[in-house]
Amino acid sequence: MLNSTHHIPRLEILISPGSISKYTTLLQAGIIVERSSTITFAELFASLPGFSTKYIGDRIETIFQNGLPVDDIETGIDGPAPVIAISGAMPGLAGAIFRKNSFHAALRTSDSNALPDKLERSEGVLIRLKFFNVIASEKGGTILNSGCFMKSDSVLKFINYRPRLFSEVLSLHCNDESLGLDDMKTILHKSETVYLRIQEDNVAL
Amino acid sequence: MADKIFRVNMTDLSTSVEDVPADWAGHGGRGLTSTIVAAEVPPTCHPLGPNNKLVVAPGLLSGTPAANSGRLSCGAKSPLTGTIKESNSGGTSAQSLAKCGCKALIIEGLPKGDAWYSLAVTPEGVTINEETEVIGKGNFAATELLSERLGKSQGIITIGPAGEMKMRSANLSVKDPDGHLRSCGRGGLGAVMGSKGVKFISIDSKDGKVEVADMDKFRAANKAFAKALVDHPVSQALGTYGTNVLVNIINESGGLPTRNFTQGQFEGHEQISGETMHDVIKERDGKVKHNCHKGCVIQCSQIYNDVKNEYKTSGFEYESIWALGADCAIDNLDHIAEADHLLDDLGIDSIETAVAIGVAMEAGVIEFGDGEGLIRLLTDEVAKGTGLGRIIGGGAGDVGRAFGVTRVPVVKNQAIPAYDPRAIKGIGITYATSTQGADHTMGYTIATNVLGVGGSVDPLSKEGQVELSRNLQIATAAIDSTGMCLFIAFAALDDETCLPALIDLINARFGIALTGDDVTNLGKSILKTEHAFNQAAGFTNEDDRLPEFFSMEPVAPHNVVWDFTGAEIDTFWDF
Repeated sequence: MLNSTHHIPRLEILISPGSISKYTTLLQAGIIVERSSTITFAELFASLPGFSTKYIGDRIETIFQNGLPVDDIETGIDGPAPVIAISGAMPGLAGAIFRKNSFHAALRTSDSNALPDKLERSEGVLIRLKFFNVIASEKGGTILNSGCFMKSDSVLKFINYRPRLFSEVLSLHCNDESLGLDDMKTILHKSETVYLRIQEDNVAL
Repeated sequence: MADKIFRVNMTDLSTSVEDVPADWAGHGGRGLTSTIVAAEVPPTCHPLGPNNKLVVAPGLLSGTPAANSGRLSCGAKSPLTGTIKESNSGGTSAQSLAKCGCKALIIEGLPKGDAWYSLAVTPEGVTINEETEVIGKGNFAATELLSERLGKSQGIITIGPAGEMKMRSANLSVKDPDGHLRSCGRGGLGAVMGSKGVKFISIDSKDGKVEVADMDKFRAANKAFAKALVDHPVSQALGTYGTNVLVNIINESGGLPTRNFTQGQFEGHEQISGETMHDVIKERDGKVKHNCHKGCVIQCSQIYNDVKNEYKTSGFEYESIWALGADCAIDNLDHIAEADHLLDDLGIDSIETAVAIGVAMEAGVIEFGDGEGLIRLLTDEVAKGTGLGRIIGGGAGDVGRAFGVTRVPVVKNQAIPAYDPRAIKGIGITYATSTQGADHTMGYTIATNVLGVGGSVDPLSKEGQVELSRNLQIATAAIDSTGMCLFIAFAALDDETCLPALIDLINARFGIALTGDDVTNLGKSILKTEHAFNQAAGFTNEDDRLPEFFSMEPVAPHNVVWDFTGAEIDTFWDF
């Protein structure tokens, strides 16, 4: 669990002012959050930095849990390691089919209504929470600035796919020690999970 | 000026301008192409023979200032499916044709010799010219040469080398406002134009204008209509990420066909997602927002540059990226963009060809994931018209037959696009029953409630799903007749002012008083016309089926199969 995080590398990246939006796509791979097993979707979203009730209601139009669309955010999260993805309204018939409470939901193969309302277990769950499209672009900066846990291989994949982006960073630190990009990749290779914080240089580290 | 039918006979190289028959007057776009094909093309004719006709028609609102009204419909009997076919595209030609007073251009007959020709459309009619300069050239070079020769303002519809070789997946390319290309992609209509010896059609509207019966009402309706489009969140997402925004969502749902439909999720989805594409476009000074025709307020197209920040492709759509990406297990967006560029230049359908290559990968022609190999297949085989290239250019069905592959994702021989029907069953019904072969755009998300076609059966039952698919296809057929982009559908679904405003636009344009019921009846009429043509061509209910592997092979991660029976599907036509 993440409550014993002393062994998890703490990576901090300083970037140019106004450039945080270039990094928010990193969140399509998902962050790892630990929450009570009895939490609802609404409570989970409300616990995220920058997510107001109005924003959750107005902008999160598409939700998946373990690949199944979710209509009611007042239902409980399901399972010990759920994967949840959140998105804005999507185009196409498929987009309409998967929108929460959509008229076209009838055309789905599986029905998320089969999910239990609440779990009885008391222990926490590790949730992989993916942020897609407008949700990532609108709230990703706040999340990255606040810091989040991520799977190391997701971060590594992002760095390898966007080398130009990471050649522009102002500084890299791991556990308060300055390091280069290759050193950071080595750390990412060795660790399953990292704590990642990306800040613009007008915000003091 | 009153709209006319422009007719070209390639057998005797004659042209004529005709009055519009009364039965055709209320039609435009798909409704008109299908009505004309059904009326004038013998259903059992060879699609590349003298009796097939290529019909090009702007929509009912094309050429007016109506937002998003620049779609061009092209129709014929399809060489790929053998069914009736309509394929539509953006670009500048619909608006130019409408301003010429051309309600439809009909190209019939076959030339006697080996010469190639071009057609020049003006408000006065059509002239036929022998053409040599651009023959054999790819679409990009041809369009550039023609823009220099004719001026940049003319509309141009071309075929590429694939159309010249009469490949069954060849498309029609339509010049967009920037001189790049849009495509009437599906069903091999480029081969039909190639069979008629026509390399390109130029359209010079000169000072032609489309008359509007009541301009004040038209302006008011257009204002409400455009506002509904601009304000809708899906429009905003489309303008930021393009249709490729769907990669992550469909992958999450387990409906992203991967490795020739053997899996429902692709491990490389993040590298090819709309979010990643957006970032790469910005990093390389491309454009995330771009319109395919004047008056588009959604602007879902984009300009994708290569690593040198030079133009590579535009209109980089989800279905193309899925087909070249996940279906072929290629996670390199630059390889996919290069392939998309080559397909545009060759003038061949990016869905059909990429799915065909996915089948070829299963046959072992190249390995899954081999992006460079895919590009090599296009440049060394398809572009050169080798034996293998012609098999691939014949579509997924041809590849399956040539190599003995049984997992061939086609309906009526047209490749199934980017949504696995096992994971998203409602779309599977549309694939099975579409009059045009598997096509995701045939049953779109229209405001079924406003049109009064929301359905009366429990939507969660199979019967209800069939009914909903039917009603979506009816509504889509009607919208396809207006010249409107289907992406108006999202606003039409949620904003109660949108669809009434569209009907008001049509009424103001023609001085008529259509109702929602009239629009619904138009859609029903179009579907029935198309279905009757297909039946006369020899198609039966047994052709309204998905390939059997969908019923036999569960797809991960949900491990579901296609479980609609033939009898359940056949209720589709009970209307």
